[in-house]
Amino acid sequence: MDNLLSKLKTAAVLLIIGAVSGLAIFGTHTLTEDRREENRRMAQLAIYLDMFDGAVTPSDDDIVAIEDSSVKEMVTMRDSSGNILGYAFRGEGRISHGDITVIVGIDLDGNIIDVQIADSTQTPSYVQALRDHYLPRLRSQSIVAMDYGFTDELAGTSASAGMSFGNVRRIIEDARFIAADFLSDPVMEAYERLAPDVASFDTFVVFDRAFTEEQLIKDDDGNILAYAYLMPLEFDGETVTYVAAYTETEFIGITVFAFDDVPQDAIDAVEAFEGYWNSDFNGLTFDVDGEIENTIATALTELNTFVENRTWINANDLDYVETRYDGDDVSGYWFIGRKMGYNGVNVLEVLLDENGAFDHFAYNQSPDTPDFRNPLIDAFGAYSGQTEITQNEAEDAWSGATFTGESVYAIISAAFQYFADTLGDE
Amino acid sequence: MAKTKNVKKEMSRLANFTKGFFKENPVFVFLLGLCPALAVTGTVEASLGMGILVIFVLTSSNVVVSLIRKWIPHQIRVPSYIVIISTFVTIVGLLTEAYAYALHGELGIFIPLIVVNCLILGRAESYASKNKVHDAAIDGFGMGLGFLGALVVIGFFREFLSTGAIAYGVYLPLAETPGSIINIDSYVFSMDAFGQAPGGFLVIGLLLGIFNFVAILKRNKKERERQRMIEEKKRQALERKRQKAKEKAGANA
Repeated sequence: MDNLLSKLKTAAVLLIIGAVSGLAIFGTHTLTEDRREENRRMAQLAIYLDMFDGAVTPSDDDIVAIEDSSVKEMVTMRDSSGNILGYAFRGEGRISHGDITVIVGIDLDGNIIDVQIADSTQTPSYVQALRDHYLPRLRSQSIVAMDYGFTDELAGTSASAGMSFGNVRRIIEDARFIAADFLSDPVMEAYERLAPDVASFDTFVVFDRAFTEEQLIKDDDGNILAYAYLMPLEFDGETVTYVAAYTETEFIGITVFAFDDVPQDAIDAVEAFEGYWNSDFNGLTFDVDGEIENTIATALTELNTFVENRTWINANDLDYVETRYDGDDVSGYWFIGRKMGYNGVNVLEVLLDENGAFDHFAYNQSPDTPDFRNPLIDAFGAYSGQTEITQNEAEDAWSGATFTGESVYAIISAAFQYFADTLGDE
Repeated sequence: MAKTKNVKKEMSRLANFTKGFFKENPVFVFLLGLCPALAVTGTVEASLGMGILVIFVLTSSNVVVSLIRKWIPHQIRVPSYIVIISTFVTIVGLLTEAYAYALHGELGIFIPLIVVNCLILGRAESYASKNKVHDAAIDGFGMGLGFLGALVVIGFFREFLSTGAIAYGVYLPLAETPGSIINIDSYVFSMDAFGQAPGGFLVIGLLLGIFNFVAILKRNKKERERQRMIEEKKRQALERKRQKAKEKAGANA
């Protein structure tokens, strides 16, 4: 009986402490609720006004609540005359580390003005890393061609800061989606001219040539409709981006990202190529008149040569190989492959010489830590001139680079194998 | 007799209040609460803010723990203390968000983390649960002030070394517009690292080294004093012995 009473007393004490505690917290919460909400609103408003030069405090009519999205609020920002300056989006994210509130400002040209973290209960050092290293990169980017470029440059931030950045990215993606209804989208319009069923596009390979990027154009179901190549060309100090699209057998056509600041004659120049649309790209040459047209034709010819010399592999981690020529003689083979590294997919370039010997490899795109992945370039450089590679210390040339190293090893090995099986006999 | 007892009591309360300042300083002597001492002492004002919050939580929880100490069964005392402490931490978090929003943003996750500050649970367990309410309150307030003092000292060195200035009104409602009590415009030796976490370790380490060095000097001085007094007493005893021997010899003569 005494034992039971003792246990009842223990339970009663805990219950009373819990109840009083709950009441005290509830009371404080209720009493301070309005003021806390007001503080949050003021802090967010300060960020809105800071993002948009010349903006005035938005009226209630300019604030729209959003449902079923990580973006909770869209605010139309105006100047004192009522002219729209752009749109601010307030989004919220949650991970196991806590909550985060992010504000994304987008101007009328569809460029990111700024991305700011308004409030966060996530790990402060990782949030600070985002503020210092990653969010500034997003400024001025066009929402139609965002390059998030998140890499764990701060060792150890791969998982943690990556999760926080995932929140930010989700909010930006939702803001882009909403903003697309309000803003003209010259990039998507250009892709629709080339592939009417386009629903999305992803960067596939980047180049340091007349064409700078290869993008996969996909439909709603994720099927590849075309391969688009961006060709930024300079006219009178202005950069105009042309985009040419191919299937695996055809040249689909060429068009331009017709942003407001693109001169009309640069836009009109693509009409000279209409006769070449939907033709076999093998042996295709472009005979056009005019300075701008000829500049485009030169870049397009370089692109067409690449496409002609490229053979799709789509197996063993390899996407394709480009056969390179010195005059009529083969000078080497440039492979593109991709494989999961430590922090995501590494896209690698591997160059073999005409005899199939290893020349070098390079990172085309890599989310892995630069300080870990870069030493591998020198480590694998030791295999230069060799026709086979053994998986040994080179794969873990730098502590922690094991996964990165394995992805490099796998792709170089696949390139050797492909050469031995296919190219060596040619 | 009664007067002497009261004076002793007052002296004891004063000692109870001031012990946390130097002799039993939570940070520099007991090395307690080092998490906030490292994390939020980048500036004097953030240090001051965290110190004030800790004083509130420590004093309040000490008072409540002392009030109900006789009703809490021994086997559930620690969970009970944690619930009491976390209640005050939650309240202080809400109040900070309402009345010092900038400080709330600056301290962030470190406000809820006050719950796990060893200093607070330590005082509840070792002092408040065994003493009367007013003594527990004095202990909590004094220890809290000692903690605040330590944070402000660390914050002073870190902020000055990293920026060359000591600002006010940035996080706390101390002024309508932010200003600075020290500002060396031509400060060119800005050491950003002191504003970061490694700077916290460095400053705490250096301060601990200095305080320990001073303590050793004091101890050595005390020891020399003690030795000198022993020698003096020995000399006096010898003197007395000689005097007695002389007197005895004189009497015999």
